[in-house]
Amino acid sequence: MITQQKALLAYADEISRRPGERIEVKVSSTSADPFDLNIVRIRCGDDGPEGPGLKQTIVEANVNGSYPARFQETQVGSFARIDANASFSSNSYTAQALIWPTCPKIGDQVILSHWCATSQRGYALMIQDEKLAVKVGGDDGEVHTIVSDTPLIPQRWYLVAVTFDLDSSLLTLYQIIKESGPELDKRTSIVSASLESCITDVSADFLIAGCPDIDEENNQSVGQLYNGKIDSVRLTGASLTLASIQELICTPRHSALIAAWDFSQGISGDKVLDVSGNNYHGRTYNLPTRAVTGWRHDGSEMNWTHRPEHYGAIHFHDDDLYDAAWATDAHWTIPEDLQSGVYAFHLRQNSEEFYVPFYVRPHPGRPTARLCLLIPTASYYAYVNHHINVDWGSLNEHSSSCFTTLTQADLYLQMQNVFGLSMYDDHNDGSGVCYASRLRPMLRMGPHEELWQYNADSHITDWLEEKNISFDVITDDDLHTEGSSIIAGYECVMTGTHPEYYSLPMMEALLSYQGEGGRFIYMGGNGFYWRVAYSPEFPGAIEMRRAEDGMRSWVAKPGEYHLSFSGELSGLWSRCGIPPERVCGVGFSAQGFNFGRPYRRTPASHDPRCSWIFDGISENDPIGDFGLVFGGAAGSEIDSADIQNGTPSHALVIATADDFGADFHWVVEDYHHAHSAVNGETCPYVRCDMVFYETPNGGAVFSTGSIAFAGSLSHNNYDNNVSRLLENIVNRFLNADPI
Amino acid sequence: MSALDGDEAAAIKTAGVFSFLREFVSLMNNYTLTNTEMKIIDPARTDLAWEFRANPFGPHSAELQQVLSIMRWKENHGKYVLVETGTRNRWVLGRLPKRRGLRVEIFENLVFADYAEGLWHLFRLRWEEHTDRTLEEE
Ligand SMILES: [Fe+2]
Repeated sequence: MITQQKALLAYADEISRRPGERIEVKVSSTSADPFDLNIVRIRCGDDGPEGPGLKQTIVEANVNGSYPARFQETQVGSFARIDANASFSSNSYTAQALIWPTCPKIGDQVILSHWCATSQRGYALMIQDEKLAVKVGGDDGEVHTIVSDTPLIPQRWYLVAVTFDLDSSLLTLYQIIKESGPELDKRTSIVSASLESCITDVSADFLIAGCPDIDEENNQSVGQLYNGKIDSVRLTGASLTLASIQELICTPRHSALIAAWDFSQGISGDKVLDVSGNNYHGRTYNLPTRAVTGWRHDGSEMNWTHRPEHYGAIHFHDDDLYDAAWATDAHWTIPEDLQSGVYAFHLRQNSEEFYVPFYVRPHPGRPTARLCLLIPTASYYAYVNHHINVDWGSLNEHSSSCFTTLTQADLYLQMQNVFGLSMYDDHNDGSGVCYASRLRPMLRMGPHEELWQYNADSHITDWLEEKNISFDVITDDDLHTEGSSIIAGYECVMTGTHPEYYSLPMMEALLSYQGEGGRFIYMGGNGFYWRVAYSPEFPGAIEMRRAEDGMRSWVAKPGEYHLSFSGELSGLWSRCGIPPERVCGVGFSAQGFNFGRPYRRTPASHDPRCSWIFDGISENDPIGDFGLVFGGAAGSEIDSADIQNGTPSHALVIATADDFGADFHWVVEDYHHAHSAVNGETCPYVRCDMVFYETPNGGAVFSTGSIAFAGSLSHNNYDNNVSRLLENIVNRFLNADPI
Repeated sequence: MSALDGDEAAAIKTAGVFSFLREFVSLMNNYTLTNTEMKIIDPARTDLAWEFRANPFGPHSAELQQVLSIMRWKENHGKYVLVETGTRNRWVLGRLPKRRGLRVEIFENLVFADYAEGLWHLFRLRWEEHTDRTLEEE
């Protein structure tokens, strides 16, 4: 019997800790049975039929033990909240906003609410069955609703407002299209009704994009979440004329004005600022998308930092999830003598288990090894909880050249929204997901999972331990925060198999490290590809926009290429002036997910500058015609060298793999016109280059250019030419003598 | 909530935390192809089917590649897929629902002990859909 929902879920408050620091784990289960918790050190998670097997050791820790389980609620979906204030309940009132709804058909969605769920009093401006509506819970105990007489069209700007005039008892609903066009003119609607019941002293927050809800067990949440953009929210303690409502949009001044929330301010954070002078500030929850074009955007400016007034909108989604905000079930302080490395909380309950990964790094400036393994946490976050196997549909089958095959994780993701989405997914309304966070249960971040990212990287730790090469781990998060100083003390830095998502400080740290004589081993493919940002305002989250070019799962909207966190242009690093070729000598060239190929040596590999790399490797043997990831060392996502793109001119392509076949596809950013000579059978750029070059001050860079490479290391009990080649590199790179 | 069909109502009940009711919308990937819009696969070319049967993982001949490319254009709703069972060497047939939050239909009685066998089963289902003919095992 296949289960489609997972009972036991967990996540931690932190992911990278050093000795003396504390980490907390938060657990939720739909089963009341106790769960077991053990701290484990993970060497290898690949227990596939051919794999090295699960290799994890329990760490003796005072936190290990059995714990009672409980279910923890999760608020999914984004909204903004302004704390309750008596002045929000006015006898006469006008609540207004500009909206750009994305899916008006999907049921009740509240745009603005001042609503008490317990007493069912207050009002909510909302979408009901495609139409604008207002519900009013009056002092008479009844809920009155009026509805506009024409449906809202998706992705069009509307001015919407509700006014109530106590003297005339008139409730009016305005739905005014803000775009012109012969058909669009018919989309304006103004309806009124007489309402004898007024609202007084409603004790409720003011919510934007949702409405307070309460269930039978008195759990409070925000429901009826809205999908789409909202701009220029105004609240006035008087019933305004349409002319006054229109005027308030751009000039938020009126004697009865209560609040005017201006989302073009504070775009980088979670604050929602009231510019009325009354300072009824609020905040957003669950990271709705900011730095999106507002109703005023006219194409004159594409960067929100230059003209924030054109970016006065927030795009809310009913499936946004930044922080599950669960309570802590157990915590552990990292002991001083714990070796740096890959660890996890291993939770078990009945037949289920759950891994919550964390990394232990050394104290700053006190490396405990000469080699640093750089854990690509930013790229882990980007992929975590992806819905690719289901949601990509045909695209997934074309790209992988295989019929859809679902894993257990795919079934959970299909059924449980508590996991949120990934940067590879669309929101329910079709817009792309810009943010990813680790403050939620993360699937596929543990042993047994597919050989991609987390579990594929365990081939590297497995090999390092097998070869008795001691290493420290540093995560992307640390590199971003601390910069090059955190890796400066290491002779050599080695990446994971797919370090794809990089921030500017991370890129600069690697370049600076390389400039100071550091040795760098790029163990992956499609690395240093997307530009992301972290934010001190949103710990544990990253942001990215799939701008302009590249292999994109979704496409950013015009004018929305700049990151809300930082204002930086996002998209491909190759479009932002630091191509991957500058960091590792190669850049993404092709991908295919059914076969790997071996590399073969090039004539350049005999150059004495690099011939030592091949010590002990037979001259004509293919390198890596075996492996756990698609059967070859060069495969999955592969890179090639190109001086035009930024490969240093003295770089040596020491080995190459080609002959990839029709199922390997050239990357879209490299061809600028449509034609069909774009696969491994017809395109010479579908190629994987292994590269070596020296860097200043005795340093050097070695790049595999292949995600599959690490999957070949354990072949034949770690005795093979891929393993030997990497061993030659590591031994030399750990030797302090200048290269 | 009144317009729910049984399938949807059941899904919402079992999912619990799911509050949304929506069409599966996607900017890029929601290809809704009718049978008449699909490219034609020549039903006489059963030789290509046998080629796939013999070697489901490829590399494939150019003509088989073409057939597979056509087959892969397939909307999600109702699409047959393979599902890993968590037990080694055991896949089952599944069928995708309309959107997120709805259960993948699982055919527990259609078990494949070999991944290639599962892929062959999917191939036959899609062949049938495109050509209106059943592939008879030789
Ligand atoms: Fe990737």
